Amino acid sequence: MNNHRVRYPQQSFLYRLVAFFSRLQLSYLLRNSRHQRLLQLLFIFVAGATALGIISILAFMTNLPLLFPQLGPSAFILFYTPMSEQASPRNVLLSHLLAVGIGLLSLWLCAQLFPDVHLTDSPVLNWQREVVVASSMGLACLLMVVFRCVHPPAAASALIAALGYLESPAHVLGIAAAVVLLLLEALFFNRLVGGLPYPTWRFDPKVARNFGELAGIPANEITFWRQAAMKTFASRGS
Amino acid sequence: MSLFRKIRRHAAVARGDFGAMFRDVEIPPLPAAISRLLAEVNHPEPDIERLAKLISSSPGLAAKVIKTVNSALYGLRVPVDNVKRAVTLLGLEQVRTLALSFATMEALPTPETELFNHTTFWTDSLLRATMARSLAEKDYREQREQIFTVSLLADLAIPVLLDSWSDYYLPVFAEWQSAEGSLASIEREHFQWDHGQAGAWILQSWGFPDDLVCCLACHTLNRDEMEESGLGGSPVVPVAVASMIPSVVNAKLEDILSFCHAVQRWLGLERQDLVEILDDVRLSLTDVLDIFDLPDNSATYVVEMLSEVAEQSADPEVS
Repeated sequence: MNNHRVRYPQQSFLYRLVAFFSRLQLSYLLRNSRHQRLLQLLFIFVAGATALGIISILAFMTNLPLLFPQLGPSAFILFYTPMSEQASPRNVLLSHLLAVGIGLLSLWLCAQLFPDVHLTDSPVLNWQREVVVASSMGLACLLMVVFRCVHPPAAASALIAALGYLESPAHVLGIAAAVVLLLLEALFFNRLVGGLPYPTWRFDPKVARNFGELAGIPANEITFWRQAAMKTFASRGS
Repeated sequence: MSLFRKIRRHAAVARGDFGAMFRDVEIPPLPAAISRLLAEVNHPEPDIERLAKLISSSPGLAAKVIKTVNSALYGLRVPVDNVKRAVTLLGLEQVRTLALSFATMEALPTPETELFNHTTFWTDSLLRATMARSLAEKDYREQREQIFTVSLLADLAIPVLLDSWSDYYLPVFAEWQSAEGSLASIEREHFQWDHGQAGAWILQSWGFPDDLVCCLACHTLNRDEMEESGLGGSPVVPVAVASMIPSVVNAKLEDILSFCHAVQRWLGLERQDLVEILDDVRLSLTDVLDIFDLPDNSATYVVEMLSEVAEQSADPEVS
């Protein structure tokens, strides 16, 4: 036994450095701090503000149409319940693209059927526009459920497209680019800053069940043993 | 090893992020036949016919089931030679325990280090599991089989960590073998987590219920920590007490005394109760070890030591 060569990677300088920084990540702090609520609030504030701030700056610098109202609720879900199915990159990207597609398709179909009707003038509201809005909304909701890519803020994308606010292909590409940017920011904040196993594409329920509120599971739905099991993974350092 | 990979490994160990630690490691899955079997046992109305078929599909398990029912534990006059009859006689809880024990023994890796001995590991585990089940007889009768299962699996992370994270874990394991103190306390000093938590993560990934996951994770806590977690009167207690039994190859008097004290303080059992429990353990242990083809001499020796200490202190003249 004495001949056994004892090596301790955990005593190296690099380990200590990595340990110091990785123990500042949200997932570690949430497991081990008594100020969980405060930490979560701080994270959502910093991540939300920075994410939308970066997109705004890019829009300003490039003069590209990257700012859309639905990015707000999307960012909220991505940073408040990052481990939920609704926040997975698959759901966010597919739902927004699907919703924009449905909104534009409804608008185009209506324009073919009623060529003389104003469908994109914001002050004018006629029954044809109402049909376009209602059908886009209904179809977007239906298809999000059918394709299992539910992400509620995407419904606003359908509405924006159906109301004719996307006036050129640049606007459509702008929405897609903004959603991709937001997802890249979510990957950065949730994985690197948060230390969370945020999915790169599809949601994993087995992983998410350990994250309670971060996975969108209401506190009152967590059983005593689930809560105890989640707590058992807290640090046991002296 | 690239710097990036090294940083990732360091971060996973430092944070006790078992999801990341075991992501690239092949955690042995429960064999499909065993998973189906457990699902059938857990079914509100299990079909014995189907259960017997599932057991028969795993020849090793079928042999163990028949060997168990024919052991002295059951004292049958006519030996049983078919699985269905064996299942009926054993009961579902026993079948579940047996299936899990067998599957875990088959699935877990055997680390390539002289510091780990497969036979000793499983003998220790079975001794502690048998003891935990007997300790649970009084206050946790309904959960006896679950307590046996958790106690048996209590140290399952050790071979996995020695096999997959040996560069970090082997020195810690070596330190424990040559120093005083519990393995968990040394692990905590190094990593801020212990093998109970790592084992609980594996159990969780196998789809075990939360109460068992929690019991396994908390078996390394001391009494105060357990009370603080609200688990003072839970099935974790007999598991934690049984885990204090020293290894069959390294049984020291002070460890045996610590165990006896814990039985008294944690479970509120008198020394005389412990003497009776130890008699019960001695009777069933030989059969349990035989079922798993493990030698019983070292385990019996430890039980005898325990009995001796318990009897001496139970004797009013001695105490």
